[in-house]
Amino acid sequence: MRKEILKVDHLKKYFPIKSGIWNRTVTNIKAVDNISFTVHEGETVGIVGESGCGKSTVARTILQLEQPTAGNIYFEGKNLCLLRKKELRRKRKEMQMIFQHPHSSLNPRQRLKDILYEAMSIQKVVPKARKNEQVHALLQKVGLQPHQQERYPHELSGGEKQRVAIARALAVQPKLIICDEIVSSLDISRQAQILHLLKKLQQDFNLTYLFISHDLEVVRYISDRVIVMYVGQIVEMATTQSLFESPMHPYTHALLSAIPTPHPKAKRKRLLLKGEVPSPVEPPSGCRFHPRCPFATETCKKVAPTLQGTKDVEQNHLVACHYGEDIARNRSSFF
Amino acid sequence: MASTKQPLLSVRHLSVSFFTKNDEVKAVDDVSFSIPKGQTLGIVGESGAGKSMTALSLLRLSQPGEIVTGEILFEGENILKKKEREMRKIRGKDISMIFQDPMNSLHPTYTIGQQLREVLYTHEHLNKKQATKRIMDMLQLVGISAPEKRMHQYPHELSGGMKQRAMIAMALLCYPKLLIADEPTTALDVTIQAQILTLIKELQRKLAMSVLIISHDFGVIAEMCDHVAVMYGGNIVEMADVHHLFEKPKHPYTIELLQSLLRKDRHTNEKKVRPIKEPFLRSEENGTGCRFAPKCPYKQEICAKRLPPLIQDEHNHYTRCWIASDDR
Ligand SMILES: Nc1ncnc2c1ncn2[C@@H]1O[C@H](COP(=O)(O)OP(=O)(O)OP(=O)(O)O)[C@@H](O)[C@H]1O
Ligand SMILES: Nc1ncnc2c1ncn2[C@@H]1O[C@H](COP(=O)(O)OP(=O)(O)OP(=O)(O)O)[C@@H](O)[C@H]1O
Ligand code: SF4
Ligand SMILES: [Mg+2]
Ligand SMILES: [Mg+2]
Repeated sequence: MRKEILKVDHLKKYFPIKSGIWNRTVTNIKAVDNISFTVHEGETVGIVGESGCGKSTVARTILQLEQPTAGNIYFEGKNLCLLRKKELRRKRKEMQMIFQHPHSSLNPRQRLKDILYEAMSIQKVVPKARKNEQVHALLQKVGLQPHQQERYPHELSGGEKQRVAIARALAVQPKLIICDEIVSSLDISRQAQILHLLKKLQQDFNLTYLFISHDLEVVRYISDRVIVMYVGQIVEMATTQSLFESPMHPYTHALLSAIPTPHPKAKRKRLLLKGEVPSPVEPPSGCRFHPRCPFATETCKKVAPTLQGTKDVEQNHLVACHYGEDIARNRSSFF
Repeated sequence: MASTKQPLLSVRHLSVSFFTKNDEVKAVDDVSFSIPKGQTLGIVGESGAGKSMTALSLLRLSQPGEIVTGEILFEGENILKKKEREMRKIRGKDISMIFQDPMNSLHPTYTIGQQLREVLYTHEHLNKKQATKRIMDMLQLVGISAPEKRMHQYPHELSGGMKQRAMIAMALLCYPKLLIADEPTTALDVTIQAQILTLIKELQRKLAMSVLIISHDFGVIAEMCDHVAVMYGGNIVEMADVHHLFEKPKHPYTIELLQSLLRKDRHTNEKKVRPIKEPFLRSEENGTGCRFAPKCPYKQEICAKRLPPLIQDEHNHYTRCWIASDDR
């Protein structure tokens, strides 16, 4: 068994909604609501789920950019929530996050070469003489040209900025990289290039990735295991193969059927989810998916299912659905 | 693009450059296209190809990129000749844009509701109640649940995809004649993406809105567009009816692009992708030849020397390639 590097333990993150003249908290956005999972060294875990389901919030609380409302985060056995500022800063070097919008994470007053150089010297000091060479090597890896090193972030196109953010995270040489929608703004050949690079670096340096994306094809390609989130909770978690070949949760199934085809003649046969995206302010009772689920029963409306394994499928395939067992047993009659 | 009527938008020989002390970066190089009323043109192409700069120029927001040559005719009038004051009236009303980076159009210190209201008050005469209703309806339409709560949130309190949707709501709020959408659905999962695309198409049908959509997602392009322009290194290298482009691509770059799509379909099973070679060379490094020549598998001697012209065939299919024009 590989070493456990990250453990998320019953994590909750609520954001207060304030209102009125007293600015009192009237209610909460339950962005992340009781989530647990572990990530092993050298592994890639993908997180998928609808917009607003809490993916970025999970990432940000892992890095302690947000204080968890409840729960703990362990990185290499240390509880990050209990660390003092200085220790936390030291640990953070081992974890890098590439943000969904690179624009806000790059210092607008620094040239690319300085951004990258600064990142490189966080872990170890690079001799001045080799500085240029290393910056060039990094730029090349993400498909930028050497002469672009003199540019400021605002002098780059959207995709170019994204690649600078990727290069910067790599330059720090962390153990864990959290990637939040890092390839969605890139064209397909660039996507391929970056995914390829991430895989290679993983092999060479035993890197661990937490990979957030709404693009299921990309997640399938890069991940060893996949977590499916729905309104702040995990509804399914399995190895990539098991998840894509035998999805169990009705939500996962709907997601997989919605992958579009890149051709004007191909009719999109989407299993469009009926009903509204539920709000994390007042999540539905029982199973949060029940208002949109074709199989929902009275039980589903009242009782929240727990995330657990089922007898007939692969051991580590967990699903939060009252009918997980039935679905696993008679897949064909369900879908 | 054959249309008997005058197109809503017509761009002619547009070039945009960045000037540094001793250098000129040609981001957009002699680009021409037009969009008839109610139709959709898609732009695809590599990262850095000049797609966003082309779009920004239509609103005269390309700075510090300078529009060196060209004219942009909107309803027959040259936008480049207009006063800044007139432009402010056009932006957000007649022509509105969904920016690639949400932080370009969302102000961090105002709530979503305040910002949408501001747009409405600038362009339309509505009382407070009507404005609130229009805003709530629009937020609902882009799939933001509980809009009455979301209106009071600041941009940083929204998820990535919600920011993008708030921006889409803002762009559609005044029912523009031309909607420019720069990678409008990159942060959205397929189900919400479908909802947004359907919304745009519906508005298009109702209001005869024209759309310019930039996307690297061929699924989106295939679903939305009547015509597609492929950009490479600042040039349009191919432009055709969407079916034509997918069925009979002529330019070597387009062919490679479509093949890489097929590879993408497969790579998930085979766990194998072919990473692209070195980044493309900008025009100034490649002298006067075809931008794609350094990577082109079909290149001839002439390719590296002279830039091929954009040639039109009998199906209104334009190609900028020395050898593709005689039907490979
Ligand atoms: N700072 C904040 N204050 C208040 N609410 C917040 C804050 N940050 C996030 N939220 C809310 O938490 C919920 C989850 O947001 P999150 O950014 O984690 O979603 P996501 O899964 O990353 O979605 P997307 O795919 O759209 O990026 C949303 O309803 C969002 O509005
Ligand atoms: N201020 C600037 N100074 C110099 N070059 C710039 C500046 N802004 C943009 N560029 C360059 O102009 C070119 C075109 O940029 P543009 O933003 O139009 O690309 P794009 O096609 O939208 O790419 P993407 O898909 O990555 O968004 C890029 O190569 C970019 O590096
Ligand atoms: S002009 Fe020549 S180099 Fe350019 S795409 Fe055509 S064949 Fe290739
Ligand atoms: Mg997010
Ligand atoms: Mg762009």
